[in-house]
Amino acid sequence: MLQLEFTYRTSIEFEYPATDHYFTLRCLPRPSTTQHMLASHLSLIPEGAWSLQRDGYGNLLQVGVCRAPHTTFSFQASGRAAVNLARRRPETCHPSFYCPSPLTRPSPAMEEFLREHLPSTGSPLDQADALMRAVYRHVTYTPGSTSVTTTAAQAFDLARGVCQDEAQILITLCRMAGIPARYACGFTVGEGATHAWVQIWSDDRMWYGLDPTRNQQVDETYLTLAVGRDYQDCPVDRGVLCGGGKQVQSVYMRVSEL
Amino acid sequence: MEQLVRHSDLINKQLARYGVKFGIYKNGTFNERLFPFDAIPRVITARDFERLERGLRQRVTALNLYLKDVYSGAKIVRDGVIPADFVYSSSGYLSPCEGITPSKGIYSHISGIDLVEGKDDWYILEDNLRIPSGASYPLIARDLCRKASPITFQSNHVVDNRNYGDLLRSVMDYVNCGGINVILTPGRYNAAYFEHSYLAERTDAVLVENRDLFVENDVLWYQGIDQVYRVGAVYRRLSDEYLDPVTFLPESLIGVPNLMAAYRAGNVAIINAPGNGAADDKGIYYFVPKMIRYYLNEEPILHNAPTYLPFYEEDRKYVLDNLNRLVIKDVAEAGGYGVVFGRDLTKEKLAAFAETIKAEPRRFIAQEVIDFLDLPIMDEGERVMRKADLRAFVLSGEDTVVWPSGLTRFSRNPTSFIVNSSQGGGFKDTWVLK
Repeated sequence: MLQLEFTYRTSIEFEYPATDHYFTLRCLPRPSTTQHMLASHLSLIPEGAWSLQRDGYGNLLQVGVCRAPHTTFSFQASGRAAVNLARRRPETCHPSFYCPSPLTRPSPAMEEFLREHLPSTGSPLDQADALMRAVYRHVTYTPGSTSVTTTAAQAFDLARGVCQDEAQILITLCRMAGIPARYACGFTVGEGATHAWVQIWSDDRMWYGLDPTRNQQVDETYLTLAVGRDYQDCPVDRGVLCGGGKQVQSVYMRVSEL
Repeated sequence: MEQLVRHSDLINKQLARYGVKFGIYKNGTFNERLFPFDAIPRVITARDFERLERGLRQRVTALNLYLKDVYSGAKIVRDGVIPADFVYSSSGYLSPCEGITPSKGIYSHISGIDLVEGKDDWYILEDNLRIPSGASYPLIARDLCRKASPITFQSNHVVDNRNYGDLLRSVMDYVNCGGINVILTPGRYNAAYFEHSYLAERTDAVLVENRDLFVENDVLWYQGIDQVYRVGAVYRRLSDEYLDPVTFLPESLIGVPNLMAAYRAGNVAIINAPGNGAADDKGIYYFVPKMIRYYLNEEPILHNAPTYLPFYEEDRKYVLDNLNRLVIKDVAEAGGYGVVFGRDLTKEKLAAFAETIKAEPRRFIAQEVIDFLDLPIMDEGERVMRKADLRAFVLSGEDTVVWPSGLTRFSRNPTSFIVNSSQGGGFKDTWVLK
């Protein structure tokens, strides 16, 4: 078991005052059998009311609006979590995790890749692990080469991308191989920005994390914010506003072991 | 009836005065067209209607149960009745609706079920569970017909259809989560704007645009001239993807930010529920008879047109062998677009189309061409026969009821089978006899 302390902050500076700024965030870790929240806190600038909701995948949503004119918008999530993979339990799997989603549609090139790299024996976890290693070799981590709307098939053809792309490629391949898989985003120990990886549902009916960007199975240094079919189901922050002009966004993340 | 026909021009002039128009976007420009009215009604006997009513109620009940199931774990998929791929690859399936149970568990409050009368029986062509439009046209036409020729309605025993507004209002009131009812329109450049304003008048709901509404503390509010009102039910006349820019398309300028949060919290009913496209996909249509058996343990009373899914190998073979006499529909298209009659294609085009079907079998359904029972219309003073369909309106509130009328659309082109208003057709009143 590991105890992790986390701080995550996004700040947006506006050129002109923004008003009627509506937001839906997924910046607090989702509770699960392996992830117990000891403390969690959200603070907003400007200060304002927000409500806590839960989406269909069990992710926590923080919903609110800042109607008054503001030139800075910032949210900071912080808290402590106990991560214990020994507490993993059998769970049900949503049927949509077996199927392609908008960003994870197969392509003929990926079918060929799958034929080449899918081991014919082993548990779903072993098979997915082998696919993860193949994806890691196929994709060169290249920030700026893709965007949030890039599909798995496009990133696969480019053979470049970031954690989101590598996760979506692995998800697509797993589902093609009949292994239920879902997208996970969250934090890992260290400093920087949010990360994305994959969870697969193995034959013991338990979820296992695989990180194709780092070529390793997920351990207790990972904190999951949200899960879904692909990136679109788990954006950390979405919002609309009036005015504002040009925006400059900065992100701070720090997770440490206690 | 003859008197009614003599008054055709007058009724059409009145319809124009009331603004009964249909807007069409073509090549990027918006044109409003009058929706031509033909005075000879479609007549449905009491006995026929009784059977249609039972069949439609059964179908809509099953479709509502299906939607509830899809967004709460999809037992029908786990039980192997519908392949998961069909449910989750449908463009109408919206993952943000997962796990949300709408007020009173109703998803499709207003269902527009398109049927055709064949030479032997009625067939269901399509279910429209998103925002089916068209009820206002026969509604106002009946009103005008009664004024033009009262005697016609004294001498014929026609069921009064002018209760549509009351039926709709009782549905809104039933699912209302506390507050006023509003009808949310994208504005006057929408194809069905006449209908939005007319239905608001008939239901006593407030006609609003998005800038009149806002969400705060998970509640939807209407900014009135005098004060702010809580909204308990919103009959929205814009499509799902534009509904909430924080959840769906961020570029939507006609939606209400965080409306989905108020809905998720159970503080407002959205009529019809977002995500209903998961059930009226042309691919899912094939499975509706199976849904009726699965959820209701009943045999379907009304039949689908004989339909094949190229997704299944056996069906694909049949479709490819009989392509020249089937009608092929693109499951993602609506409004009469993406419909191809095999018999209209040249040999080369048929071969090319067969390749497209082989490459993307999930994209199409194929149907036998139904031998329509043509209806008479008046064309420049002459009585001629034309293809027509019927959109029946089924309202689900405390009960599921079929409006004793409907929108009969006909094709003015003698060789066309496509009757959609967006393709330039006209409409008739639909009489249900007592």
